[in-house]
Amino acid sequence: MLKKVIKSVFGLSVVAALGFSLAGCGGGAGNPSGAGDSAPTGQITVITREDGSGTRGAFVEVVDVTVGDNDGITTEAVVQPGTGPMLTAVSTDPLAIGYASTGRALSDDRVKVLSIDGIAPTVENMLNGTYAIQRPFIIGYGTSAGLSALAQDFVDFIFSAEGQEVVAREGYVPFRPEGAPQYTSSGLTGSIVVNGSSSVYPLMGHLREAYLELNPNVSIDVHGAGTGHGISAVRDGIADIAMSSRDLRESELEFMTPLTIGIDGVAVIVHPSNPIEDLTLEQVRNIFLGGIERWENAR
Amino acid sequence: MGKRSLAFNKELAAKILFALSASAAIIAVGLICVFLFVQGLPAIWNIGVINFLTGTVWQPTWNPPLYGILPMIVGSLYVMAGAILFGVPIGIFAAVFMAKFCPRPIYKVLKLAINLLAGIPSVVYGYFGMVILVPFVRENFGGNGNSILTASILLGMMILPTIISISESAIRAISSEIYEGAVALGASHERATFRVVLPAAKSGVMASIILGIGRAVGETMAVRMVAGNQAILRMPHEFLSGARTLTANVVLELGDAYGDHRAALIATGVVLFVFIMLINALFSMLKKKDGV
Repeated sequence: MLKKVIKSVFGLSVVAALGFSLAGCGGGAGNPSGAGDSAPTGQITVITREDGSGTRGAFVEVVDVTVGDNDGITTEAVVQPGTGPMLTAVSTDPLAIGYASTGRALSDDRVKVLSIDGIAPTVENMLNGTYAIQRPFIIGYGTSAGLSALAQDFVDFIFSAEGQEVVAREGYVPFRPEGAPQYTSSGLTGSIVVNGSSSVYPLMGHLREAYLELNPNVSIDVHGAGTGHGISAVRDGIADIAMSSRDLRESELEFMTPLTIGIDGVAVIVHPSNPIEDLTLEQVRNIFLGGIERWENAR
Repeated sequence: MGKRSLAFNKELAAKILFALSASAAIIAVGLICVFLFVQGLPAIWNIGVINFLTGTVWQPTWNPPLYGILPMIVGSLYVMAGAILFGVPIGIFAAVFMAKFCPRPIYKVLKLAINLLAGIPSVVYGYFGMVILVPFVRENFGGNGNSILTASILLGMMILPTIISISESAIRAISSEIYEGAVALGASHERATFRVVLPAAKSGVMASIILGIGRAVGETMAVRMVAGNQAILRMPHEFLSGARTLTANVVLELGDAYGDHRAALIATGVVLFVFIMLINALFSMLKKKDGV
């Protein structure tokens, strides 16, 4: 009797241990088993970015997801740190809704980008202001320290015709759509450190590449550690240029000079299997406040 | 004379080198301690020890901000308990099997699998959890899948290698005379293993569990990816809802935080540090008992 019990327990635990290790090996290639054609009925999985994120700050402000003057995103919302985890989380949950930089969301076919009040987040709609959820992409440098000659040259490049073309090509709205001066390589050498918003990070990476093609003897380190992190890095003199995906606060403007390099929309995203194409700004607001809890009530 | 002093110098140099190497770990721990407490304690003091430890609302961007970490302390305890629930029984039975019942060819495969399990980086566990476990829990148990249960299952998997390998060596370390004595008295192989050898290896097995708990409490990346991270004080029956652990709280917001918010996160690290210290103290207490 004891023998039998022991044998079956062993069988189970060995199978479990083996199964775990095998599953661990093959896990990466697996399909999200939640991806089906099921219509969205059920509890909405609200997914948000972490407190302090620039994208969250901009989203809360523009959509007015506030209680009093404070961030009112429902505390029941799942929190994902960073644009990448946000996109992955939404892409694996058929009932999810989240938000991310339009530049990143539109180029990721694992998620579906919704229109807001019938208006899609295209470059034209952001330029003419009809797509409501948009925010500036800002770079900043220490006011007292100023920019090094090389950093100044990189900034000049960003605002040149060549740099602004990169901004437009990546799906963002350039700060200077027309009439930007041509850039000519200065032949400077040295290195620059750029740190900040994970939303601005991909764009800065493309700007860096384009700049390095013209200035092969320069090295530029770009880190996307978060808006707050980038700002404190510039304050502490660790980075030359900070990236921010929201307007700077009073306290930050005391030591930093901001420059707007472009405008980015914040896209509201759902799982591709979700039949919904369009929500009103008010519906988005209520979903993130926790007022609308089920997809049936969102339509 | 010259030769001798050269040898003496060599000896001295070697002594210094070894002493320095040995103290590197102590210096590292000391520096971390100083950093954490210098940066974290003032924040705890400013917020108020009671407000900080028993506050149930965490809203660092509010005006005025609220820094209560009780939800995170409780969240850490839940996933720790969950990990024990899933990891410990499987781990101990697997260890007993490997030490006492396993045919040689199977042992080789098992050992390999367990070493592999130990070597998988936690971000890979996290990704696996996100794309496999979260949908699995959502479809079979309900909720949105980002939950205490999911984090517990994932952590249970992650602490298996620790529990299995340390328990196995603890069981193997029990001298065969104890086992043979039991068999000589008429016990079957199973009875001798479970009633005599396993109890004799008790403290080693306990040590493996405590080390596993240490890993579970300290785990950050994987938990953060599947636990939902809501800073809400949950009741035990809400195990299908998400929770935020102490580690997740620090790593979620540290990148964007500055000023008081940042200090409050480092203070969270202090609480976590004390947590881990308590677990380690428990571990060395058990080891001491074992040594006597």
